[in-house]
Amino acid sequence: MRQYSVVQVDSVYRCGASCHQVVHSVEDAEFHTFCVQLKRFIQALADEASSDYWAPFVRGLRRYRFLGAAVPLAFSSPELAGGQLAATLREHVQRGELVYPDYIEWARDLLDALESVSSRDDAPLWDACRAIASGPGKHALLLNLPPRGADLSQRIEQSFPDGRLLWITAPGLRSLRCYDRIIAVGPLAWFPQYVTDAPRANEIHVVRYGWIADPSRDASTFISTLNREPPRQASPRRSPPPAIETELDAREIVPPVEWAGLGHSAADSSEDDDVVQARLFLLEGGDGVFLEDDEGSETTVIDLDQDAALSVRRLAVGEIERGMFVLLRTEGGGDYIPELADRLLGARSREIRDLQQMWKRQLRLAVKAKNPGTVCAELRNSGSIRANETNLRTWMSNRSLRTQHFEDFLAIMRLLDLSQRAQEIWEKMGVLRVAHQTAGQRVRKLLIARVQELAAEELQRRGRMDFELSGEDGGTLTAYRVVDIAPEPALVSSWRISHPFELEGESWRG
Amino acid sequence: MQERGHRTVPPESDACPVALENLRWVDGASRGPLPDWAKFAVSLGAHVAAAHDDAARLVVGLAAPDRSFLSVLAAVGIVGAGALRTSDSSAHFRELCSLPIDTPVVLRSGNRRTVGRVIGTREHSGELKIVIQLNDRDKTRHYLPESQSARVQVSDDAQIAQRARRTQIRINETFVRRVLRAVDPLTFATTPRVHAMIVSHLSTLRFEVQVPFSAQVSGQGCVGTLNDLLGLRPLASGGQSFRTGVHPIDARKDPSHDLTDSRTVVLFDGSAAFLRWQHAFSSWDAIVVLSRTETRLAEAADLLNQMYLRRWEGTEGTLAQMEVPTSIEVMTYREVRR
Repeated sequence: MRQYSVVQVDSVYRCGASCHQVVHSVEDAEFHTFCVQLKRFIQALADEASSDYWAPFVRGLRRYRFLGAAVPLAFSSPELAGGQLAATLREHVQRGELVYPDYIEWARDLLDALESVSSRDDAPLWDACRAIASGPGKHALLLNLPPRGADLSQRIEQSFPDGRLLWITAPGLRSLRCYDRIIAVGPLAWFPQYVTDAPRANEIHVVRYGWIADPSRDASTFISTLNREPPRQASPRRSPPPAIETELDAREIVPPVEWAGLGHSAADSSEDDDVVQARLFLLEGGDGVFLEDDEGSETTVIDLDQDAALSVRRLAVGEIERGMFVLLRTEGGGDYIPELADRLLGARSREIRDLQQMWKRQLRLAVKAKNPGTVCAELRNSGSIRANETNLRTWMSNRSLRTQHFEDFLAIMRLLDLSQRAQEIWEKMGVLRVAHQTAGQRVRKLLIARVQELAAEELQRRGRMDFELSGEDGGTLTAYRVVDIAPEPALVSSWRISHPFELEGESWRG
Repeated sequence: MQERGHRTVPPESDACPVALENLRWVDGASRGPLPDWAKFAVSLGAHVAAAHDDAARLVVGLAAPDRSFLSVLAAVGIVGAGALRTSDSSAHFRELCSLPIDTPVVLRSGNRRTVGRVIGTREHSGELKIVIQLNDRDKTRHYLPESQSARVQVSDDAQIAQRARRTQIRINETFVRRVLRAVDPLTFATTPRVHAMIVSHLSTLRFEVQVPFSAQVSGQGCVGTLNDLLGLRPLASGGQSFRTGVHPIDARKDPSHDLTDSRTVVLFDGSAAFLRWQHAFSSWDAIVVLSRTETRLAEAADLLNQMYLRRWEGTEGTLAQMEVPTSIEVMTYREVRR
């Protein structure tokens, strides 16, 4: 459990009372030219920018532009992958030569600019950050995205072997830990408001390219305040606006999440008979995961806003919120509970699982051969009371071990010509359910112990952490912070459920 | 570099029933005076409790850089103000005399208390007395005039009322006396009235109320905890009375059984507490403590702002004299009590 003292809490209030902001404008003419060129190109394309041909091209370049302004690494860093992108897009451009003669030269110029920038080993953002962090004290390097590789950590370690510079993402600033300086990489508009409204440092240094316009935000929480001169945003010191004619708005640079595209690619499973309704969750570090989103679907979460006893729990997928951590099996993949349940069942697990697969598969085939409405009607004629399309989807899903009531189960068995084995299958599914419940309780107990052991602050700071569970139930689980949640569910193959995957290749930002 | 302005909170107010100048934080061997934000929280609680109006409830919203300790410190102010109010012996005697026959009560004798019930009132030598019959073997009757009525308190717990045995009053007497002005610690410890109701996570509260503080007078410190003042109901055991109710955020039922006093002030400890339970406390004076780092801050602030727009009247005047620490934003309004 989080423990703290009045003195620690007071340090947060002291930061709030005395914190000031300094903006450091970084200039780089070549990168600036590339960014402005891209802006003009997108404007010229207008609606064409979202066409099948131009969308991947624009998406790739926007991603590089964003990473170049958000990651304090060399332009040539593998984390930005600019060279590889330029090569890929050149091939793409060649294919459109005849169709888009007006834009091809422009596109080639852009790729030339990208190649030139991405071949450079200098890192202007890092240089500025390093200079600021050279001052005495403990500093935090605040990033919009956690680093995917070891490049940044190595740079930090080389320049600050004494460990006084630490990278963090914004949620890491929700704890009571305070720093002497927070060095925010990128405009403040990219970070949650609490970074400046509830500062965890005496100084916030904003390191951003000078051509990025950073609009100020309303600092008030309430529409009417008793303290009439809220001083929290008292004239933060900012450098004069850069004398650049071609600025880019901070919000324009952040590529939006293209949910529709992601949903489409994942839902490309029309030939698969094992399809479930799922929702895509974007995870810290650029990964994604589909979680089954049918009624009754649950997954294990860690919610650091909760009490220790409630911080690890099974939660309906529809109730998961941004900022919570979902717990996924990263060795072996998928949900850990079924695997542990199988271990608890021992030799019997094979037979019971086969039985489960058998009736689920037959039910899905029946639904595919007829249609959900017809199957529901047949089930009702066979004695089912609760047969409707929502329940039918749940019953087809592997997450549901059996129906709540025997009469519904018997109706399914009758439909599948398994009525003679109905009682046997019902009982074996009951055994499986008990094993799942026992496994869930055991994992939860182990996890609560681990969450209590580890510094929640560290989990909050990193946004992702592996858990090695000791003892006979040992295994590796990874807690990922939920960054965003798809607004609409999609139909995906069941094998994708609970398996985290890299979204980088799927260009999750448009 | 430009420094932000920082106004200071006056060390204490004569109106505050809590001796803020005596209360010190303890961190290992170190001691120190309460920081401004902590003094503000205590004073705010006392102000809200004192500003009770039967016709209109007062709602105060706080947005702070962190909400740790704010709710429990505000509750200390509420309990202090409540204890001061209930120490009016004349009003207390009138209340006792109006109780129905057989109402369970506890009678304090020294630092012990015994369960009994109200038998009625009698006039002896022209003086009205309340008659209490103890649940002991001899069914002893006590005839108490107004001057001794503080020894009698209504029992809040039906189970306690069934017991005949005497129980010892457990209280950190020195700590309470030094922190709460003009309050008799023994009366305070046996007055089972819920002055404050905190909606929060139980383990968070359990931790915060057990953090040591010191009550220092003339260089002499006496260590105690906020629970010595608050008497959190879930921590009260063995027939000890409580002064602060707790409604866990994850509770499944509404908390109506805990709130019988319209003067109780409800504290919502965080956005989740407010969003989930504000509907259940819409008649009570309330303090909503929000942390700016909470994931549901915007949602909670939106709801509070909407409630403000539907208010009966603004009440900036009520709390306008308070100096608010620069890191805390405060909104306040009144609305017709439902």
